[in-house]
This record gives sequence, structure tokens and C-alpha cells, in this order.
Amino acid sequence: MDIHALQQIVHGTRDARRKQTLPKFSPADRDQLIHKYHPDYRERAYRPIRFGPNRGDKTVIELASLLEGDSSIADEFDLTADYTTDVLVVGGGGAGCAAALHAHTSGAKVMLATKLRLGDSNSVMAQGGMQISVAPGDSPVTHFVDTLKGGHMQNDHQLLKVMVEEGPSIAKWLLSLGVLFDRDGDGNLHVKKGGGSSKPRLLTCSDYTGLEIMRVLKDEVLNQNIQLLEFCAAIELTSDEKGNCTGAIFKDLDNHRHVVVAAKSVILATGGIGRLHIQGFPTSNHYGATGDGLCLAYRLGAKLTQIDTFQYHPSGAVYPEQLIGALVTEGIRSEGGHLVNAKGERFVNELDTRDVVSSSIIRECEEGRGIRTMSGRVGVWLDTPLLDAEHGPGTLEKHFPAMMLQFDRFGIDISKDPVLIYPTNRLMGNSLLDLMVFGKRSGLTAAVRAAAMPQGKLTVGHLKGFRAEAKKHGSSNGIVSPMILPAYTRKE
Amino acid sequence: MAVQDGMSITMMPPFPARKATYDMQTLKDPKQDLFNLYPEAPLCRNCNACTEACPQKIDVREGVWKAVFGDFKSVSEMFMDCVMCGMCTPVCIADIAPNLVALYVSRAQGAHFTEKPLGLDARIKEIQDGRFDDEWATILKMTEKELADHCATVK
Ligand SMILES: Cc1cc2nc3c(=O)[nH]c(=O)nc-3n(C[C@H](O)[C@H](O)[C@H](O)COP(=O)(O)OP(=O)(O)OC[C@H]3O[C@@H](n4cnc5c(N)ncnc54)[C@H](O)[C@@H]3O)c2cc1C
Ligand code: SF4
Ligand code: SF4
Repeated sequence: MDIHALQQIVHGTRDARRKQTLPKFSPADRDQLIHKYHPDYRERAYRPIRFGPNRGDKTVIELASLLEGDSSIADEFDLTADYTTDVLVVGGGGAGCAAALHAHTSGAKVMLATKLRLGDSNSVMAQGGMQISVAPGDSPVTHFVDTLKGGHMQNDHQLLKVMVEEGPSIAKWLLSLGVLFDRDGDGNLHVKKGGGSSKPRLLTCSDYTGLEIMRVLKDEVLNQNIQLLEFCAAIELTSDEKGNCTGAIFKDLDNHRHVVVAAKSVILATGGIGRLHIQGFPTSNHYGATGDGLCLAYRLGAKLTQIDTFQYHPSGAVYPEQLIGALVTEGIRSEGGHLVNAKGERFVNELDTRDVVSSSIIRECEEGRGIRTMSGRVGVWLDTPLLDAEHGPGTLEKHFPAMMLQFDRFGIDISKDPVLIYPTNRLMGNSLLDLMVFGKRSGLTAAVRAAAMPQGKLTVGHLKGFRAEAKKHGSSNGIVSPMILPAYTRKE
Repeated sequence: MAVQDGMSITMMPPFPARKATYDMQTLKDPKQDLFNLYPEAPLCRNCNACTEACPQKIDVREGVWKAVFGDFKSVSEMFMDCVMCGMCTPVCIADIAPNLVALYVSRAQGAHFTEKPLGLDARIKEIQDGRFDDEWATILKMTEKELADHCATVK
């Protein structure tokens, strides 16, 4: 059936739904739901890694294959350095820029190399905001507790404490650089309530939070004259005889030449893995989110943590076709947007945690209460017109200009018609804060380290051991990693 | 236009416009400094090509004028949608890079002409003064079970 005909049920049931309040799931129901429907619990999507530092650990098949993949660099590769620096930052997203700026401020000579243009990253796309406990009724401790709950008590306590406690000073730093966070009438930072948190805590720049932060950080990287390499993808790290990282080898995507950079400290800030399309999920991630840094670090002997959990954002667009996987911001649900199945019913408290919301959307679709588009995709409705009905005409236009414009390009007015969504994947929560705090810390640490040590020798000695292990375990799978860019050409 | 079969897509490098460099935090008079950093900004000839080029439907021309007249607040609001694609730059007959002018103006608005949020400073001081230390001590001492129970009480 035509999408417009299917939408009628959402319009028809809106008033009845507005009177309804849905309770959150009890802890037991919630566990059951997640175990049955959350993609992290799909056994067949996982396999153990055969060798290397995480040998025996399970992760998604797509990632396992890349981690076990071979390097494109031969043992006898010419490692004469084209550039020498104190701190080399790989990746030009939020974490990379924050690390580079802080290392620079501490007096280190910094080089930032990135795969595409500076700022082409997931960071620019963050819309929902950044969690920082600045409101009087809130506190870092409450932020800690909320995050633990969202993470099912699995988070590392020390890291988490650092993150929530340093949040406010990060906000101050960003403000001093000119980031325009939304304000209340009294000049204080405006906070919104995000899914799964007990207090309003999201700092926003309308629905352009990541874009605004990145515009400023990018500008600052340029202002500080930090040396830049754009369109250069890291394809291997170098190590000295003790296995310490001493630099990186890049491939210039324009002319396919190799570029060797010697550095005393190397920071990998290459972001997520959405473009691996794990379990066939669409993604909201930028084109270069292929987990390259993970492969590089793995071959050099780093043990990776938490490679069995990924975040599935509850609301990726399913229609129109061009926007598949594009995120529909959480903000819509925060402000009261309902999730509605094909029968016109709500089926979950929209402000429950992401894993619960995602799982219940998957449940609706698998049990036949999803809405099917003409191209055969399935999703549920997000009742966007409800926001204007609830808070007055123009609400969407005012609070979600980016989203209005995005759908408007395809002739869809989200203030009049609901949008169709399905979970899509990406990594991490609290992420904007996470990357600023730990970006800053790695930048500072790297600068201090670099000041205190000589440049190590450049070798690719670590590959010998890695290749020997690969051979022992039934040799390599023929895959060369990192992936650099995903291939979308049609397979004939 | 949407993506169609057989189309090839290239990532455009940024248009090589001259970007002024400045140290945002130490600027003394940002409204006056605009004319040193981007002396071409007041030379806008009103051709409107920038506005027509903008995929984000920003009234770029209007923004350039407002910047020159010192209405930094309006500029910062108008250019919140700017994705820095740079499409407004090569079309400008006055050699202005409107998006860079707007970025400078928006940052100056944020760093120099916006109220300091007092609540934020208060929170930073609370953390430095150890106001939450007792709470932390209690929480970090808890067993997993106690912590889970405690978390369940926070709604
Ligand atoms: C659509 C969307 C919405 C989001 N909304 C929010 C939100 O509201 N709040 C929130 O807190 N978080 C949000 N997130 C999550 C958050 O944006 C990311 O977790 C965060 O930006 C990651 O930052 P990063 O710097 O680690 O990675 P990225 O920003 O992805 O940067 C990685 C960089 O590394 C480069 N790179 C990759 N491989 C290589 C290589 N081999 N060599 C050189 N460079 C390389 C990339 O080109 C890129 O520049 C959202 C994410 C997405 C995708
Ligand atoms: S750089 Fe900004 S103002 Fe210029 S055309 Fe692009 S979006 Fe519009
Ligand atoms: S293109 Fe240049 S000259 Fe024309 S209106 Fe825009 S800023 Fe002015």
C-alpha cells in the first residue's frame, strides 16, 4: 500500500494516544525483551576471534574478519620518514581535534592526519546533544548512576567517574572557544532530558550540536596551525624493537602513494564501525566509519575491550530510500513523540533506554506489526506531527530545523506526516562528552610523554609475529585490513 | 537530486579560500577586528549569488551585511545551519568567503558577547571543592548488589 494511505492510522489514533501513559518495563520484562530481540544477543552474528590479543573472545563476524585481516605492508617496506613529529593524531573527528588541540597547547609539535577532509566524521552528525551535569538539581554522581543503569552496570567505574566529573570543565572550554550552546532566559545553559536519564542533562545547539562543536574545533585546529594531512588513511602502525608504537604509515587517497610519519606518541581517534553494516543493519555513520584504528592497534598487540556490545540507535529512517539509516534524533522522543505500530498503537515507553526501545521496535516488526515500504523495508511510525499538536505549531521547525530540512528535500513535511523508522547501529553512548574528555586526556598525556622520550626506530617487526600466528591458525582469510572505505558497487 | 544508477560521486576538497587566523580568546575588540581579519567583508556588492548557492537555504548575503554592521547575534543564529560546504565562496564577486566570515562572527558572539553561565562555574567550583566527595566515597564502596539496588531507586 502507498505510504500515505498507511499514515492515516497515525493521524486517526493521535488524540486517543495523547491521553495514554505507558509504564516502563519491569527489570525482569526488560531483560527478557532484550535477550530475545536485541541484536547484541543474536548468537549467529558472533564468532570467536581465532588469534591475536583477543583470541577466543566473541565479536560480530564482520569485525572478527577484519581484525584477523592481513596488512597491505610488506616486511621489507621502505620506512624512511616523510614527516617527523612529537604527537601524531590519527582521525579528524571530535576526539582527534580535542586531542590535537590539547597536545598543542601543552607545547608539543602536533600533526593531525585524517582519511577524508578534516571534520568528515560521525562527530559532525550528533544532533541530540551532550550529557553534562550542569543543572542545579543534577550532579556528577547522578550522571554516573544514570550511565551505569544505561550500561547495565557494566561500565568501568573509574573511567566513568573521570568522564562525568570533567564534563563541566569541558563545557567551559568549548564555551570559551565560542561554541553556542542553547541558553535559558537567565543565561544559564539549557538542558534537555534524554532517554534513560533521570534528570535533564543534554546540552544542545538546536539539533546541530555536533556540527557546531566541530565547526569551532576545526577552525581552532586551523588557527593554531596544527600540521594537517587530509585524504590520508592510516594503513599500518610502526613499532620499535620493544613493540612500542613509533609512527604510522598512511595511504594518500588522491595519488595512492604511501606517507610515513615518525612520532613519539601516536593517538588513534578513528571512530566507529557503522559502515561494516554488522548484522546487515543500515547505519547513520559517515562514510569512513570502518573501524580502521581497531585493526591497526590489534596487529600491534593491543587487547580490545567491549567488542561484543554495539549500540543500536532506536530511530534510523526507513523512508525515503535516500535517507535509509539517517538518524532521527532522540530529541523527538524526548519532546513527546510517540512510537506507533501498524495498528496505531504505542508499544513502549518512548523514553526508556535505547536498548529497550530498539528491542521493542524489532519485536513489533518481527511479530508482524511493522509497516512495510514499497521497497520491502519494515519499520514503525514516529509520530512527529504530535509535537506541533502538543506544543503549538512551529515547534518542529524551531527545535529541529536540521531534520525538517533533511526530509523537506524529499518533499516530506514531518510536521504534517509521521516518519518511518527502524533501529540502526552506532557505537557508544554519552559519546560527545566521552570523546572530549578522553580526547583531551590522551592529548595531554601524549604531549607529556613525547617531551620525555626520544623518537623510537621505525619498523614493522610486529607484522612478522602477527602473520606467523595467522598462518598457524589456518592462515589468513584473504582479507586485507583496515577497510578504509566500504564498497557499495553492485556485485554482478 | 537524489542518487541514481550509474552516477559517480566525488568528495570535494574544501574550496581554497583564504581563512584568517586569530586567537579567539585574546581578541580585544572582535567587532572591529573583523575588518582587519576579513577586510573584503564590507565590499559586498549585493549580487545575492551566495544566497542562491546555499543548499541550507541561509540568506547568506543578509548575513554578510549583518556581520559588517556588527549584528553578531543575528549572524550566529542564521548560520547555525551552515555545513561549511563552501558553495557560497567561489560564486562571490567580491572575493568574500561568507561562511568563514560567519564562523568568525559566530565564535566571537559565543566567546565574547554571550552571558557567562553562572550555574556552570558554580558546578565546576563544587567539584573542585569536593562537594560530592562523600557521595562518591559511599557509591564507590558499594558491592555490586548494593550499587544495583541504589541505581534502581534513582528514577
Ligand atoms: C548520526 C549520529 C548521531 C549522533 N548523535 C549523538 C548525540 O546526540 N550525542 C552523543 O553524545 N553522541 C552522538 N553520536 C555519537 C558520536 O557522534 C560519536 O560517538 C562520536 O562523534 C565519535 O567521535 P570520534 O572522534 O571518536 O569519531 P569520528 O567523529 O567518527 O571521527 C573519526 C575520524 O577518524 C577518521 N579516520 C577513520 N579511519 C581512519 C584512518 N584509517 N586513517 C585516518 N583517519 C581515519 C575519520 O575520517 C574521522 O575523521 C551520534 C553519532 C551519529 C553517527
Ligand atoms: S558554506 Fe554554509 S553558508 Fe556557504 S553555502 Fe555552504 S551551507 Fe551555505
Ligand atoms: S556573493 Fe559576495 S558580493 Fe554577492 S551578495 Fe554574496 S557576499 Fe555579497
